Amino acid sequence: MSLIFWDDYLELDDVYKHIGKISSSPDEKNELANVIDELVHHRLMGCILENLDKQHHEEFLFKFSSNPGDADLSEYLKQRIKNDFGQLVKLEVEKLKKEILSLFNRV
Amino acid sequence: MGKLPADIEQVRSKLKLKNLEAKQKFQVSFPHAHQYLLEKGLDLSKIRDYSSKLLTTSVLAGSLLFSPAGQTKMLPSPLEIVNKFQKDTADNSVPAKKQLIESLNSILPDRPRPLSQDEEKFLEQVFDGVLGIKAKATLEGEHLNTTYGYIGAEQHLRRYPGDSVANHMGYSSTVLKEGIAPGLGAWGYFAPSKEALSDDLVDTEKWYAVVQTLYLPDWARRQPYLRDWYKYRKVLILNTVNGNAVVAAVADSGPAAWTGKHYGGSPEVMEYLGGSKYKKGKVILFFVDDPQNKVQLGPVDYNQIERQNLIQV
Repeated sequence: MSLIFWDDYLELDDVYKHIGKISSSPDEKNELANVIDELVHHRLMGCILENLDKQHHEEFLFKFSSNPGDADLSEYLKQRIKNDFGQLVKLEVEKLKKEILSLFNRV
Repeated sequence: MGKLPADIEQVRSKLKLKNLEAKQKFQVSFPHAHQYLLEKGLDLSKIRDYSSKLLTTSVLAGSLLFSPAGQTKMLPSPLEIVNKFQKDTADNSVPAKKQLIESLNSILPDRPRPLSQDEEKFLEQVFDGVLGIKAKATLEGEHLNTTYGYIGAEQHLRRYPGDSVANHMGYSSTVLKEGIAPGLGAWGYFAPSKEALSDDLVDTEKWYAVVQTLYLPDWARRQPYLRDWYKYRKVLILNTVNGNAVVAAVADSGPAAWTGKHYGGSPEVMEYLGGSKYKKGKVILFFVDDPQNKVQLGPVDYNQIERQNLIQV
């Protein structure tokens, strides 16, 4: 089940483990989890719009705002994005994961 | 030499900065999309809250907003299933667990999604009739965002100040190797000291569950009521693939939605549900309606259920 249709593509367990290690309270853990959640939404929406022909943007945004958890949105995008949609999102998530994990190292 | 881990303040600052950059980049790259969402009153940062509220409204209205067309199966009669179950287990023709899995497969979609009220009511009757456990999707007006989703493996929790994994005596080596979580559960320590840790609390930690209270649409607004309501709340967790079931107590909040999971289980819960290598799987999770506190935490014993049915017949 997904609250957002792209949840099915998210597997950032390693990031969650790192958050657990450095958080001293559940509130702190939830705060960081929420920041990452916002980051994920902006990056994935950007990735989708970048790969979806602009003529479909408004229709997609209408469908998304009507029900962000609609599993049919994946199908909608698969039919309109030239590249493999699932692979595209997975690559973006993997890239984001590496970027976030690098933040856990002291500079 | 390996890199040193950053502390919480550093990570928080860097994450917030990265988040801000992502928002700015989105606004600059897709001003029309940003404007469209603004006009709809939608903040992408809060999209999960928005979706959660939509879902709650849809469940209350009895509709199935999140179910794509063609994914809703016709529901058989729960009474027929329960009667068949009692007859077959009494004459030993079909094992109870096998029957339950077949019943679940007859109504559950392959891909987890929020269930409709009808589907949840059906399951409540099957659980009561087959397992003898009064389990509810909605209890005292409370309902999780989903009752059908993925569960993931959690570590042990610290039960009192100074607790370590070595103190979890009597646990199998498999569950001990999962280790102990560095932070505390959402309700802190189970007891103020080792001496104050009762047998009940030992069991609570041993059979604990994690649910996503953080994504409940009214979580912040209805404090401290919801925090108290969920603390050690008993839940029935049933592995929809093999039928293994446990009664667990909610003792932590999570996991984050971006882990691809909806619930968490203690090492014992996970080992019982799916074996020592079980890290993630599809489950049903309902609240246990147990006002007299009679339902014990731990595995649901199918052999006992079959014996009871034999006695009844």
